[in-house]
Amino acid sequence: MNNQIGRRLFLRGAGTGLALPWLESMAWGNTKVPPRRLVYIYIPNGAHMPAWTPAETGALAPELPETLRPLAPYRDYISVLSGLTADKARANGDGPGDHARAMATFLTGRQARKTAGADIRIGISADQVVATKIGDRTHLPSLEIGADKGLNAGGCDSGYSCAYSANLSWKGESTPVSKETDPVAVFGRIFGTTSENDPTRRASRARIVDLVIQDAKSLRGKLAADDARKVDEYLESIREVERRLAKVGETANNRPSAPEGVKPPISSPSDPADHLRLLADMLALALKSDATRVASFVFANEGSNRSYKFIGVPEGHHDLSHHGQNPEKQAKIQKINAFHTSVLAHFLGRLKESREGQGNILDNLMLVYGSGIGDGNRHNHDELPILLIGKGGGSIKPGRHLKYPAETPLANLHLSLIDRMGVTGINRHGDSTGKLEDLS
Amino acid sequence: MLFSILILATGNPSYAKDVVAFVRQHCAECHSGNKAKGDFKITLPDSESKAVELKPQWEKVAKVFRTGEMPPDGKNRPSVDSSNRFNQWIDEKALGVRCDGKPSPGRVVLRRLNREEYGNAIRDLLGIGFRAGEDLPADDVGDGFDNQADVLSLSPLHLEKYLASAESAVVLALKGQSRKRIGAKLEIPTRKDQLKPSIERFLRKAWRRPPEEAEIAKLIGISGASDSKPDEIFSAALTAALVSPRFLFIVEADPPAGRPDRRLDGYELATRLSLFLWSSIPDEALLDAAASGKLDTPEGIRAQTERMMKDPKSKAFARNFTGQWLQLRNLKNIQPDSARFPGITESLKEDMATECEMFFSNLLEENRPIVEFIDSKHTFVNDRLAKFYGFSQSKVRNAGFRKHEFSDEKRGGVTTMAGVLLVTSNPTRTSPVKRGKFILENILGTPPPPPPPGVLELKDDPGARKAASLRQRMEEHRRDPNCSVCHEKMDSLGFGLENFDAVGQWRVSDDGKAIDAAGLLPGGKKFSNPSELRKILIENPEVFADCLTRKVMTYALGRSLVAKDRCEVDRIVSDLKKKRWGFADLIVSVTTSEPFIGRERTDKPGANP
Repeated sequence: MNNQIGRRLFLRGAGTGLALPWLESMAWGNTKVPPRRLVYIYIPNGAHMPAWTPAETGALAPELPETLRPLAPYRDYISVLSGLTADKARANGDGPGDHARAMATFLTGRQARKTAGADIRIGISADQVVATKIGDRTHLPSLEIGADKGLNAGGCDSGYSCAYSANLSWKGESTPVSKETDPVAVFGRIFGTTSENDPTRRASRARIVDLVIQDAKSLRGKLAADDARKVDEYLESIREVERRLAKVGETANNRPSAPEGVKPPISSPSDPADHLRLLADMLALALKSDATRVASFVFANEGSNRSYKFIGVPEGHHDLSHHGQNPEKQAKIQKINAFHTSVLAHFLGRLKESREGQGNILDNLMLVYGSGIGDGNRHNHDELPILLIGKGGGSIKPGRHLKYPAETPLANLHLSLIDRMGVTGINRHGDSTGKLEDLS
Repeated sequence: MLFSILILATGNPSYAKDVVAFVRQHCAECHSGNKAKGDFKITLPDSESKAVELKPQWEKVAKVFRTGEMPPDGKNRPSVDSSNRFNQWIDEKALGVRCDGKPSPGRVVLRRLNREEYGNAIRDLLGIGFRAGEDLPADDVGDGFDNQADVLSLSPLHLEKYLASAESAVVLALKGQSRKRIGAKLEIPTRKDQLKPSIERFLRKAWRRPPEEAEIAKLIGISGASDSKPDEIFSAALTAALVSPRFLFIVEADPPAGRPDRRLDGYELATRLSLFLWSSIPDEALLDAAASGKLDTPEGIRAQTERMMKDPKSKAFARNFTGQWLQLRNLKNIQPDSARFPGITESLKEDMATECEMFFSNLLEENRPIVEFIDSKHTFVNDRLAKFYGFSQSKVRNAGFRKHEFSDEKRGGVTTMAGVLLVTSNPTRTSPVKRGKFILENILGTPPPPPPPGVLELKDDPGARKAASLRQRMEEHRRDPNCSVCHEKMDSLGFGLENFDAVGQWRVSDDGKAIDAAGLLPGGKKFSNPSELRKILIENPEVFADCLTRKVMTYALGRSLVAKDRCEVDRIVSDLKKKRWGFADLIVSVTTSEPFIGRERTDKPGANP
């Protein structure tokens, strides 16, 4: 039912059904081979692992574990990866703060510098490593979205800045990439806004951008090193805007346009489930139209205490995750986990619907779905809940449950996918010790 | 006494006697070896010169020691004299803090406007009701506030939004202008020779200082074509000015070579003042004060601070500060279980926030003592909130918010306001732990460390709920010595508020069991109800004054306080005591303090490239 509302919002005036043709025509530059895509989706507070991990390794049994059941239609695209560890999310001498570290380490494989305010530092995230290298091939180098804005007040986790528990993607070691939370704005980012699509406005923008770049450069020269670093963030960001403007200006066919019949969403849904699904729809659109090949999507910030009343769980997620082995609470955690996998299933459905080459986008996708915490009660960072979804353009053989030796770094998975995205010359990412074996 | 305030001893402490022996006697039992408690091990090098290099260690030690958190109750208490010498050694030797000279101002890294400030600045510059900040990504929070320079980062998404929002705002402002003049005095040039003065006026306000000739010339030349119309050039120039780093960042020059620090000039100070008290840019009067040198004296700063506190724009201070200090911004994300607590609508939550803001503004306006934050005989309510609280209704309906004098001792101060009680509860029940933690963090300034991982959780299933009250279950739970160190203090404080349910309404029973709001604090202080708890909390106003001053300074400066800021914090607190704790006096003390009016050179190597 909720799903229907989301669809209506999204496909306003588009008639019924998600007809496939809206996708087939999207060009991938000059190549005939569909590109690979890399997506990371994060869920907070770990998962109820007994309902997540299949009993057997090897080929997935027809019946999936309870939490993964919504994914049944995409079983052939799923690899369940057990045994991966985010060692840098452990205290390692820094004391408490597992939630902040879990999110901050997830894609960086680095230890977050413990600070509430001054001098945040972590590392570049896997998605940004790829975006930096191949991002210039698409309209957007990468897309970062999420359901939650930052936390509004108070500390976030035990002396760690909220930047750590609200940001999955890091462009530089002190520079998180803000996520867009409004589906309407995501649509604008993908297909451009009215002003971007008007050549006169674009020219005026280009002049403004040019002027402020000069301005920032001259300002930078007058500043001390720590201040200059802040201006560098500005310069990098404004250059990115400049690059996009230039790209839009090229008449090349790499400028995505909204598929026929697809109109921007009217507003950001107030219902949290609709909100998540509509964001998923937007991301699906971005991938389908090849506006970007790299994305991260945060279902909820780490340590989130959101109530899931709409699925019969009025308690706060984080409070529940400290379940103390109480079966009632564990069942509720499982319910939240299953709700999130149902959103994932919705997203995969969108991607599967659209044909691409001989198959669909899932054939070319590499999607990592999971959390930087294993069991919310123990705050452990080994035995993480991790799914890898998609065939990666034939480079991944899914439909299996793979169990890795204890302490295998999660970063090994990142390294393997960075490699599969065609980024060469990277031999290490965070605390990686090599590539993951056995994925193909 | 629960929390000790430090009195510094004189004379030179010795490393061997006052540090090594002290640590061995009072800390090493728990904080050494592989099983060090709290994941914290104290290292004691042989030589003093090596010991002073362990700055982070001593910072941590100083913090828990000064607040009385360590050594925990039940352990041998060090004598006042040896404590003082130990503290003095940490301060002077390890952290390099000496309060006997000129206080050093500290350093804020180049900070950008946050979304509140950005939105307000656009409003004040262009005189339009356009809420420019709303589309921007949320600002990350550091040290409890969203205006902290270090964590305010910039991403391409920000720049895209700045650009789009500057375009829309300027178009909107110029369109509005052509119909009728509103608010700000934007003078749209119709002739080319009017461009320069118009742009100059705009830049002075937007960039918060008189612009240089070259800067104006660059903006006039923005169109690149000689046949552009003046209004088109004007519009492009304004847009560029609003995307420029000189608008988005708070630029302060470094001290000249060879000088450790400098006093901010009038314009820089004007910007700090307006961001602090208005979350916006300076108005004409403030810029004029800067230009005429009036901000170069403490008296001048005081006069402007007092004027600004009375201006309606200071509502932004009330809203943004209380929204974060009292965590009222989290009200939006809190959804109490509607089956248990019906009727908590968005408008009611908004009223709860307004109550705290009005209470805050009133203290500021009337320079009332800050202890009223902890215990007061009044609050502010509208009809809806009065009904919610069960207060006698005003005879005039729809009277809006007004002062309400309490007729009993049930409530008083922020810890009994519904907004605070609601954000420190779980959706289905109260959380004495969260409430206790809130008091420790935001009233007493002694945040507890978080629980170690893997600790057993409170039994909270229906069976357990039937068998014992929340309080009994928590007491049972607290027997674990690993937990009791912090929880004794935290839970006792929180239990003192048990007469307020999870949404802040008064109650005398919970799940059929009578509420017991009595408590015993470490050190032996007893209370039997919320009112007595409040009396204990204000017994030593210095403790709260220190906490509030630190919060206000963090907010005012946009940076974390560092060890040496203690000197100025201590001075402000002792000045304030002489002035009977007036809240407005506190604000003036902050705006005239050395960290607020000065800027230090970076101590990082490789500076000034």
